[in-house]
Amino acid sequence: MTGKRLLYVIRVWRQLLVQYCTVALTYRAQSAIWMLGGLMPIAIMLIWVELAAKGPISGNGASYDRNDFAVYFMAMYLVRQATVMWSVLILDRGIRRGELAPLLLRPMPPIWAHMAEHLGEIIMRLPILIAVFVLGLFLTGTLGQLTLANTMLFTLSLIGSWLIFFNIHYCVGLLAFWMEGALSLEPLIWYFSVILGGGAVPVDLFPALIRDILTWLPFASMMDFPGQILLGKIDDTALLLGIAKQIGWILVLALLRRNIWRAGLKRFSAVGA
Amino acid sequence: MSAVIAVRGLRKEYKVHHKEGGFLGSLKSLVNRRYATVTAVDDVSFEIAEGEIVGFLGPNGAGKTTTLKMLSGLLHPSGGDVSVLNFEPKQRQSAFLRSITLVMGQKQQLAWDLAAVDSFLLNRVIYEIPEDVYRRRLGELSEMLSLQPVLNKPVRKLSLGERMKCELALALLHQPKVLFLDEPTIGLDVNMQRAVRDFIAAYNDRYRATIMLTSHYMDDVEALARRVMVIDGGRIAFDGDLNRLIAEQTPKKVLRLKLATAQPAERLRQYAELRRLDDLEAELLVERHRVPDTASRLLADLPIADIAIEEQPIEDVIGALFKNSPGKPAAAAGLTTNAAS
Repeated sequence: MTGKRLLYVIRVWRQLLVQYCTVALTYRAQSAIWMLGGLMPIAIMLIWVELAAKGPISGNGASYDRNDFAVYFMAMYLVRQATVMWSVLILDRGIRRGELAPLLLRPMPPIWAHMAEHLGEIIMRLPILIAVFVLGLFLTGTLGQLTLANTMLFTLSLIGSWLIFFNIHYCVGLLAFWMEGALSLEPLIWYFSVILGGGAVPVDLFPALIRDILTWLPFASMMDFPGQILLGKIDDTALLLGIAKQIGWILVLALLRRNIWRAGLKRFSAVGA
Repeated sequence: MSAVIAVRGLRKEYKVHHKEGGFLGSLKSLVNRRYATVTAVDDVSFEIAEGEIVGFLGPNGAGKTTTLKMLSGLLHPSGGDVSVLNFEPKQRQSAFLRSITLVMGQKQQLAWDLAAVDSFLLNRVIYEIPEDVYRRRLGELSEMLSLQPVLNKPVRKLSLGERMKCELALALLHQPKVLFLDEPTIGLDVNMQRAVRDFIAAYNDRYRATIMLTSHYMDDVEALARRVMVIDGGRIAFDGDLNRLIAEQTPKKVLRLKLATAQPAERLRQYAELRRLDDLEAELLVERHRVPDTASRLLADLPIADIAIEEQPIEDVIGALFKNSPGKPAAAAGLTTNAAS
């Protein structure tokens, strides 16, 4: 990328973010409802904390006491809240109703606008999310978990989670080029990430065989991995492997997304909307 | 004059899923999916020179929007060659996209929840318009379209006409050399239609932009385009001067009479075909070469307060053209004037 191009990309992104932060402000009520809906990990946390009242819960070499569950599910809360996606809806509507056409006429990849729309929303709700997150850790007596190194690594893994979530949702949304029910697939991503990713049960509490499979899937990479980082029990090897898995999934999914987009666009250009 | 738009043998075929109606039809289509090939644009060729405004007319489903989408790169042709400003539109190169615009009356670019000016600011950055140029152009567009009072209002709160004017201004902010306007006045009231028409004419005049315009409002076409292309069933049925089209398609003119005293229909029919009789007002259809003679006889024989000789309304002309195509009733043309819309 040339310097001039880079400057152009930065300028466009700055303006896109300004625009979508402004849009997010317009939808304050919707954001508040979403944030309330995102309290499920906290409810699950309360159940696990209660279950661990008499002692740690162990399995397959892993052990979680009350504090561990509190930290883990507060991490789940932040991951879920920071990765709220509606790109399936945008793409389904854009492709089937032809709303994608005006975006295709601009000398800018349409995905920039779609990404910025999500990021604008997150930027606007981030202060509240962080406040709830810190308050949750404080009330459960686990605020000490937020060391500088932990927080930085957790933040990086959160960015990785966002990119994996975004690419999965985008790939599913792009299926609208071929099918009419792409939107109906969206809840599946949610179920998979909750059940298989550690949203309900930490992955290392699953039976060994299932755990070994799950840790290689993107759902654990985007949910369980940031949770493990915040717990601070992860060793350097597991940390590096986790980061490598995140990067791997981002690359694989981004490649998949690009290929689906190209094939879909070819179809869109062939049949129109 | 060199052609800005050159189209040769353009064709577009769609594969359409064929399904019978009702639940049984849906079940059948699950087991046995049937497809039919529909030719939306068939062997279309034309050239448009720099600065020309061409009215692109046709009934619903004739292939107008499909053609415009192929010219703007949104659709890939099934066959033929297209060149717009020496670009192949389907490549959608950045330089091409920066030189054209496609305004679709029923699809919007403006961000719904923001003020219109926010969308302008975004396009300024996307199209890399320098700040001073942006201010000047926005000023010009605001002046030409009287946008100032609405620029800072949320788009969702604008009237349809205000929104359409903002859409037009947004689409022209990067000063495209080629404009594809698909029903730019759809749904607008008469005054707003006129404002948009005046603006398009002024833009063409000021920047020598090449414009292809589709509209169901014949007033748009009459006011803006000297040349019209009529597409029907995916094929060009006429391409040429609007006046020639009128002369070719309507061998008769309209004699509009204001009578001093009411006359029976039979009496008026002695002179020519009676198109309308409404108390003291009548309209006769007279062959072009007999107009002077018939008008003199009418003035001599009948108590006439006023007489006017007019061409037939343009929608009748186009309707007549479609009528000549088998299986295409004039009503399908869906052409309206302001009075009818």
